[in-house]
This record gives sequence, C-alpha cells and structure tokens, in this order.
Amino acid sequence: MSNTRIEIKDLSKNFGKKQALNHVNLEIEQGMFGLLGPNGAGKTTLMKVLTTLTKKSSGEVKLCGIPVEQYNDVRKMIGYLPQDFSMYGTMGAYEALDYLAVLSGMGKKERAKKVPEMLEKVNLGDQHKTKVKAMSGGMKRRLGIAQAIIHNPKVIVVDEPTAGLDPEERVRFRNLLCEIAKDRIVILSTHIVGDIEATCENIAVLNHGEILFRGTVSQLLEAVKGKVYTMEISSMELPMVKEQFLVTGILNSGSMATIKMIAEEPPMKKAKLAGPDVEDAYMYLMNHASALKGRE
Amino acid sequence: MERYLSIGGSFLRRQYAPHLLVTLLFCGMSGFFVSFRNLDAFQAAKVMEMYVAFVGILLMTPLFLPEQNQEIWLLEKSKAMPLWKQYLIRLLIAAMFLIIVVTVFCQMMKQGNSQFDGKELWCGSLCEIFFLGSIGFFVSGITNQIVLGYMVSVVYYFANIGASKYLGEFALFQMMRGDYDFLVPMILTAFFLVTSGIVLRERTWKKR
Amino acid sequence: MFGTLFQKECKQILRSMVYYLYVVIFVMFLSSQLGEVVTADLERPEPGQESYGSVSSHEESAVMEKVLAGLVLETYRNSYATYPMGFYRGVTLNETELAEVTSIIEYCTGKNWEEILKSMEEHFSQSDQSAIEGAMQAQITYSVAPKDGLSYEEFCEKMEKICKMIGAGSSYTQKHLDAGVGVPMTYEQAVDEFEALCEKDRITGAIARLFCDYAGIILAILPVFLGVTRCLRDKRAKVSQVVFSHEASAVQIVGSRYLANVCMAFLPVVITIFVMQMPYQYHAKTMGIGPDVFAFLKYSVIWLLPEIMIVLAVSFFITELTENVISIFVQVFWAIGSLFSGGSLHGGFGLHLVARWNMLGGTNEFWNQRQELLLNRGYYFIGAILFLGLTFIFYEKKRREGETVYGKIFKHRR
Repeated sequence: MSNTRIEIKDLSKNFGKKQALNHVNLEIEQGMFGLLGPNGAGKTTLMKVLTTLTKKSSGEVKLCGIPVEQYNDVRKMIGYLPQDFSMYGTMGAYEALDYLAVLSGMGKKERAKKVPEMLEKVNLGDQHKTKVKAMSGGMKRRLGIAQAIIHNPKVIVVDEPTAGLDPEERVRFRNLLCEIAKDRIVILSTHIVGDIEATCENIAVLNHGEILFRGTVSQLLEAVKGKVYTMEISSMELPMVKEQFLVTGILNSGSMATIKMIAEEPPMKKAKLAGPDVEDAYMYLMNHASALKGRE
Repeated sequence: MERYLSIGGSFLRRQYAPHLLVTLLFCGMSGFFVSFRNLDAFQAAKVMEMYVAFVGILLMTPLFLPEQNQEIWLLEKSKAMPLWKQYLIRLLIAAMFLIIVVTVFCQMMKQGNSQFDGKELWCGSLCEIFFLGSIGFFVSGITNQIVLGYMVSVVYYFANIGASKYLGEFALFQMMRGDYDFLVPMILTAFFLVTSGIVLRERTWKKR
Repeated sequence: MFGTLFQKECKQILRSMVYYLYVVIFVMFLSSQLGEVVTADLERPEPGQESYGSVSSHEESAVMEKVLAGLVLETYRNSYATYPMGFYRGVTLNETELAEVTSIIEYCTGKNWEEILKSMEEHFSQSDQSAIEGAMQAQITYSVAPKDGLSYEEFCEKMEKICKMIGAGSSYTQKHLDAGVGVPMTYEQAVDEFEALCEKDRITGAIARLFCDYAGIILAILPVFLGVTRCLRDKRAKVSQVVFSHEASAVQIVGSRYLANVCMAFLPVVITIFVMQMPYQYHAKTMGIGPDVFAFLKYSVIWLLPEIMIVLAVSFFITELTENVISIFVQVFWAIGSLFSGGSLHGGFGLHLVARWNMLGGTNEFWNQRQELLLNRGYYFIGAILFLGLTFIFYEKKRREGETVYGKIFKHRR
C-alpha cells in the first residue's frame, strides 16, 4: 500500500461535556502539513487521535488507508514527538534513543547503525553520553525528533516542536523537519505562525475544535489581500485605533507609532496598502471567526 | 497570615487529601486489629506503638510531594515566600492531624475503661510517632523520592520488631516495656531530622 | 524485542537507589536473624537428655492439659490473643468476666485459683526465664491437668463459654482444639526426627527452610518498593506519552519490566541463601551425610519466588491503575496482616502470604504439610500471573483512552 495520505472524516472527540473536536474533516497529503490554532483549539487532541493515544468519540480516521482502530498497525507507521518530550533522566542520549528504538521494534544490527546516524543528524553526535536530565530544552527536542524518525515512519506528528527554542535552534529544527518531509507526511502543530510560514505549504487552522480554514498558505494570504494597511499615527491615537480596527503590529518611534492593521475598507486617508503575511491572515481569520460566532 | 492559611489550604486540598483519606481509613479499621477495652498501661502503649505509629509515616512522608516535580520546585523557589516556610506550614498541618489522631485514640481507650496514665501515654506516643514520621520526612526530603521515604521508615518499624536492642534510645516500642526515658533524646532527634531534612534538601538543590 | 527490553530494564534497576537499599536491607535483615551458624540442633539425640523439643499431639488428654495451661497463662496476664479477622487482636476482660473464667478453670481442674497460680509460679521458677531457650522450654513443659472424670465433651462445652466472653478467633475454639497441641518429644521421637532430617532434608533442606521463613517476612514488603518505583518512573520522567506511541505492545513493555524486577529482586535472595547454606553443607559432610547441594535453589524458587511475584504483580497493577504510592500501604497492611494472623510459627500455611517455618528441623511434620505449602505457593503463582494479565489489559486501555478509570474519578473532581 503506497498511499501516503491521512483521511479524517467527521471526527469528534468529547471530554465529558467539553467538545474538543467538533466534526472535523481533513485530508492530509504527503509533505509538511501545518496545523495552526490558538492554545486550547484542539490541536493536541487531534494529534493524539492520530497517534492512537486517545480514542475518538465518533467519525472515521485513516492513516495511509489503515483505520486508527487498528492501533497496532498504526503505531508501526507513526513517529510522535509530544509537546513536552522527555526521557528517563539517568539515561544518556544514545541510550535513550536506543531504548525507544527497541520499543519501535528495531533489531540490534539496525539500531547499531541507525542510532549514531540519527544522533549525528540531529547534532547530538558529540553529546551521545549526555544525560537527559542535563540536557537543554533544544537538545531534548532534537533527541525527541530523532526518536520520532528513527524507525522511518510514514507519518510523523510533532506537537509544538519549537516552543522554548532559541531562534537559531528553531531555524535548524524547521529545516530538519522539511528535510524529513520529502517522502512522508509530517504534521506540525503550532501556535507560532512563523513556523508555518517558513515550512508548510498546506495548512489547516483550528479553533474551538473546528476547522476554520483548509488550504495552502497562498490561499490563506489571498483572503486578506488588499485588507492590510500600514500608517503612522501619534501614540495618543493608538488606544482609539486599537479599539476600532484589528491591529497586527505596532512599531513605536518617539511620540509616533507605525501600525499595521487589517480593515475591509481603507481606514484613513493616510493609510497605505501593505503586503500581507501569514500572521495577518491568521489574525484576520481568527477575528472573523469570533465575530461570526458573536453574531450567532 | 492569610497567605499562610491559603497555602496550607491549597496543599490540603490538592495534594494531602488522599493521604488523609488513607489515614482515616487506617484509623477506622483499627477496630479489627486492636481492642480498646479494659487495657492496662502496657497494652494501651502497645496499641499506640504498634498500630497508631503508622500514622506518623502516613502523614509525614508525603509532605514534599508537590516538589517531586522539579519544575514546580523551581517555580516555587522563584516566589517571594521561601520554601522552608511552606514546608513548615505543611509540617504544622501534619502535626495537627497527628495530635488529633493520638488524642482520639487515647480518649477511645479511656472510654473503654482502660487504666493508664493519660498524659504520659499521650506525650510518649506523640513523640514516638513524630519520630517515626520524621524519618520518612527526612529521607523523602533529601532524596526527593517519596517512595524511599516510605521504604526507610517502614523498614525502620520492622527492624524494631527484631533488632530493637541495637537502637538504644531510638528504639520504638519502649513504652510497651514501661520505659519512658527515651522521650527527650527522641523528640530532639526528631526535630533535628526535620530541620536538617529541610536544610539539606535546599542545599543539595542549590548545588545542582 | 522482549529480551532487549528486559536487559535494558535490568540495567535501569541497577542504577536505582531503591534497588541498592533493597539489597542492603534484605541482607542485613537476614544476617541479623541467621548470622550465626547453629549446628547444635543438628546433633544426634542422646538418651537421657533433659529435653528433645516438642511435637504435635491430638490425644484428648494432652489437648486438655495444654489448652488449660494456655488458658491459665492468658488469664494470669489478663490478655487473650484472638484473630477475629485473621489479624491479631489482644482482648482484655473486666473483673466479672475474669471471675467467670477463673471459676471455669477451677471447675475443670478441680483446684482453686490460688493453688493453680502457685504451682504455675513454681514451674516457671525452675528454669532460667531470662534466656529465651529456658523460657521456651518452660512453656513447652508447662501443663495443667484436668480433674478426674472431666470428659472431653464437657471440656469443649466449657471452652465454648470462654470463647463467648473473649470473642471470635481465640485459642479455645473447637477448630483450635481439633488442631492439636505441642507436647514434649520423647527420645524415640527425637531419634526418628533426626533420621528424617538426615534422609529427607539432608541437613541443607532444614536450613533452607529456616532461611525461607525469615526471608519470607521481609519479602512480603520489600519488592513493593521496586514495583512502585518502576511504575511511577514513567510518570516522573514524563515519558508515558512517548512510550505509548511506540509499536511495542503492553505485554512487551510491562512484561519486560515485570520480569526484570522479579529477576533482580530474586537475585540477591538466591545469592544470600547460597552463601548461608555453605557452612551447613560442610557440616553435613563432617557428619557423614551427603548434603542436598541444591536445597537453596529448590526452596527459594518454590517458597520465595511466588511471593516476590505476587507482591510485584499486585504493586504493578495498583500503581498502573492509580499512578500513586497507594500500593505501598496496601502491601504493608497485607504483610502485617499475614504475619500477625492466626497461622502458627511453623506450618498451617493455609493461604498466608508469609509462609512460616520458624525452626531448624521439624522434618517429618514439614513433609506432612508439604502439599499444603505447594498449594499455597501455586495459588500465589497463579495469582501473580492473573494480576500481571490484568495489568497488561489495563495498561493497553490506558494507552488507548488517554487516561485511567481511577484518573477519571479522582482527577476530574477538582
């Protein structure tokens, strides 16, 4: 079976009365896929359903043609990096990776070859003896991604992978993910828009357990095209402008401030049309959704 | 004052409640194991020393439970209130429950027409139980592993069944033999264990 | 995968402080109880010795004598041992009840209470009470004769009355009377016993039994700490999610952990018993008896391994279920309950977790009860497998549903 594809049909998940996922429909193709949404939007729940760590309440989920209920088969083809990845503190990097590789069913010879290779790939080659408890956040994450890809899974799910990383590490990490995504699915969940912008072509935006948007980055940008303006106003005006418009950026310089905002019509004469970025589009989408919700 | 109350209350609700429940269960089941009727001083001491003593372990060992999670430990350390004050509050709560339990048991035996010197037994058992608990407190404090705390204190109790003669003034079950000389050295050691437990805990953490 | 995981688990155990504490406590406990090599009890009995120990008897007159003796002693101290729920509970009587018990004793013996006390004191003053052996010897030889013409049926009726006063589970119930009493051994019996020791136990068997008796006490508790530590390690290190998402099945993950813990817990036990058996092995050779070299292995595997297995299995199960330390309390309770419950110090295995045989020898009696011990241990062995199976099921369920049943009840309450 060579179809590298995830199908989610009408997926719902309830925790008691709380509905974490509400009739989600999604298809994910090979490559990097970004899952964007605010904290508590249901991203982690969705990922846990995909990685068999929580049972769905209803709907249908298939990974590469295999329904998620066949969890034994599903587990064989997924690699998962949870939000707060950690390992036993007393284990060294090599040992920890080796342990998890065993759990993935890898044989001795295969591990002896792959473990050093993976450590090298995530830049932990020199630190293969460093104990997990002595590792920085970035090192732990890199170890985490190594364990998620070591058994060469078809689907890799990474939850908030760049949270807590410094900018340099973040860039390296993103590049690493892109590299891996060449011949498989990598699902990346984040609330950091920059991560998505730099890496993913296909994205979905999730809020309150519902899909708000599904498409490519350029489609997302399209929605906000011609609605992003910049202008210079005095700092005094700022509170008033913030109240009326959706402000996505503020740059203070002395008593003046350059702001970036989203509006359907040109807000003032001095406002100039600007090129949108993903963050603007995301803000617009979120704001739109909550406005819609408010109207209901 | 309000701050201390609120910290104590939150600990009680979030972490301590299950342990209190177990303690309550343990006390409630005492009827199956010990008799409260017509006891003399030695038999009353036996009830306190062999049964109620466990309450010390149950109540005092889990006091460092929240900080088993290193992140919580770090976070709490960054707050204005020093951690030792928090520990002290928890210790006071535990001591309060200890006193209640000991008093209730003494009272129940008195009601059952037992003959013993109430004050003596009350002080003696409180001291012994606090001592046994302080061992659990100390060990779980310096190792940051609650399980080790239980292990050492439970084993200490068992060691006293066979090898009390090697333990001198720190042997449990002395009241059962009518000996009350252990009171002062034991309570002093208990306080020493408690204080050094807190101090050492914070020291070792700084080094890391 | 299982083998590799097992190896890795063993390595991890070797790094945990709890394990070293386990070993140290175990060895210390055993050497404090069995440190000295006792070969005095292993000599051929000579005729004309002062005593030859005790043996159990079901003869009605012997039963009445010994039971009355016990009753006198307990009444004298006004402290009656009872085991109402299988646990020890001391009962003290008030004055009117006490008076009634004394009158029953007076009726059964045909003597008045003062006389009985006087002869009791005389008996005990004959032997040195400060030494344990002296006190035990005095206890074994102490008996109170019933009056002439007291039938066994009448005696039983009287004892029933006493049971009503003291409460359930005392030493005067019909069940206890039927179980027989310990009476001093004769020379012939002692020789018979010694020959059994040489032939059936081949010396080392007897010491292995005594070792298992002591080791069984501490092993009713100690392994629980290993189990709890292992199961909570995933929670502490926050690795459960990562482990869950891997291919390995619950049987492989939990099974390898369990097996590693059982093996590592059993290892120091086997080594200690082997070391402790050595001097006796040598002693047997000097006596001209070919010792049973593998006694240590036979006894520890049959006697102690099922105990370690059940303690670990129960702690694995409870800890995976609740994810807290509650199984320590459960185990301490269970162990103490079993230790202080009605079973005798040698034999009467029933379904006790701690199987006792607190004597060097007693070969014939042991071989008579051997079947019962095997049944008991078999029961715990199967119990351990059952609990382990439940743990597998539960672990997989937890893994699938993301939370525990226990968690649903207790964590969402807040």
